[in-house]
Amino acid sequence: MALDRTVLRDQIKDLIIERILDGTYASGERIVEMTLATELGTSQAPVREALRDLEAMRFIESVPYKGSRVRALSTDELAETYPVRATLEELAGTLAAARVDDDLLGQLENALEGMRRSARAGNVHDQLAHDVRFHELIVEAAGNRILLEAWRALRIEARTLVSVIKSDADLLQIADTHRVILDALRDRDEAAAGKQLRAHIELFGATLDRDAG
Amino acid sequence: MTLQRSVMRDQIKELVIQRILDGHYRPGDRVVELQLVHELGVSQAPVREALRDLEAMRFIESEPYRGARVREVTPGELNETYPVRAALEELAGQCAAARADDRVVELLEQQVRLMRESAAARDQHGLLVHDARFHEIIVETAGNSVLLESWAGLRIEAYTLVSLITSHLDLAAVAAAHAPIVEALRRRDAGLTGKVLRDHIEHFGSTLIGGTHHA
Repeated sequence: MALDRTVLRDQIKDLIIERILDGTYASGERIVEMTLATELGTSQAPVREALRDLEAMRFIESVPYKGSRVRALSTDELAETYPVRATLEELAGTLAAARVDDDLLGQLENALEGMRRSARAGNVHDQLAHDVRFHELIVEAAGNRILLEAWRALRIEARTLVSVIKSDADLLQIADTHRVILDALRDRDEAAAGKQLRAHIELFGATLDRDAG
Repeated sequence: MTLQRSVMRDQIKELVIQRILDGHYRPGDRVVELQLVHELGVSQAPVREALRDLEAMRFIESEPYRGARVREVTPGELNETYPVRAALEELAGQCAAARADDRVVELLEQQVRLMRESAAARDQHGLLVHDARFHEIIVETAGNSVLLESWAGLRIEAYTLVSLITSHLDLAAVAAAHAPIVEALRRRDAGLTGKVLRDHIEHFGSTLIGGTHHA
């Protein structure tokens, strides 16, 4: 395989998530590192790294002496994340709009540009990283540590990854949906920033529902 | 001391929290079990249990071989909880209104009754337990496990305790403040339930912010 190891690791990760979501791996099922490496014709290292990532994302759990097992993760859990995320980000947007400065606006522009660049290159993983960073910047700018902690506990990255894999969303279009949020923050419009963020998250929640249904 | 062990444990817990909030114990300070035992003239068991509770509430942290130390708990951190809690409970109220059946309304009424009884007996801890349970029933009824997890992560019990200790709230008024929430749920009015819950949390948030300034 001509792929380098990080790309391989990401691909193995996506494959396992897909198998969990489509039921190929049932919850509680063991995932054996060696079996997977043999099946995919790779070495064990990228498989091990992918499994470690998936454990951090709580898709799988490892039990001492028993290896890795698939955690129960339902579409319900994903669907349930969206209203909570919408609520937290609406609050974040409202608070951040009152505290926004040029430095933050510059960083948000960079994240948005990163999303567009990755979208054009068709790189889902980079796109996702910039997308998550865009939202994280806003939640950080809100200046409320409890809010930031609650938001991080939602494991946005893991759950967003699942949504992207499940829906064949247009990446460039996703990138561009962030523009109105940035505009509201630039205007220091607290209500609009909160409202745009809520609408943005709810839109993706609805997309997921439609694809799942 | 004629106090029962669980009451003692609660009192020791409150004393330590009080000392953290008034700066007597500073972040990083060690909280030594034996020292508290001698100072308070109690046995080690309730002190150990109180410290365990405080660790679960994340007021202190214990490190192997180094004992318990005070975590940084700032009024800022306390004040930051309220807007997050208000937002999450507004969502919980909206979702719960559509799903609250007679049994849920009955469970909530029971908690309000227990809160009133605790208030009448000047039992701060009883009030705290039933207050936290009241809100938890609503968040459970919302039927969203992610919301429940997020809400539970806010350490509601810890912060409610802190607000009761620092703000000298009228206990009967705290109990009574829950009645409009039950009423909104009884009407299955999602918008109203969300709003009264938000107002309820924001009201106590502002009381606490006022309270800590004087403390």
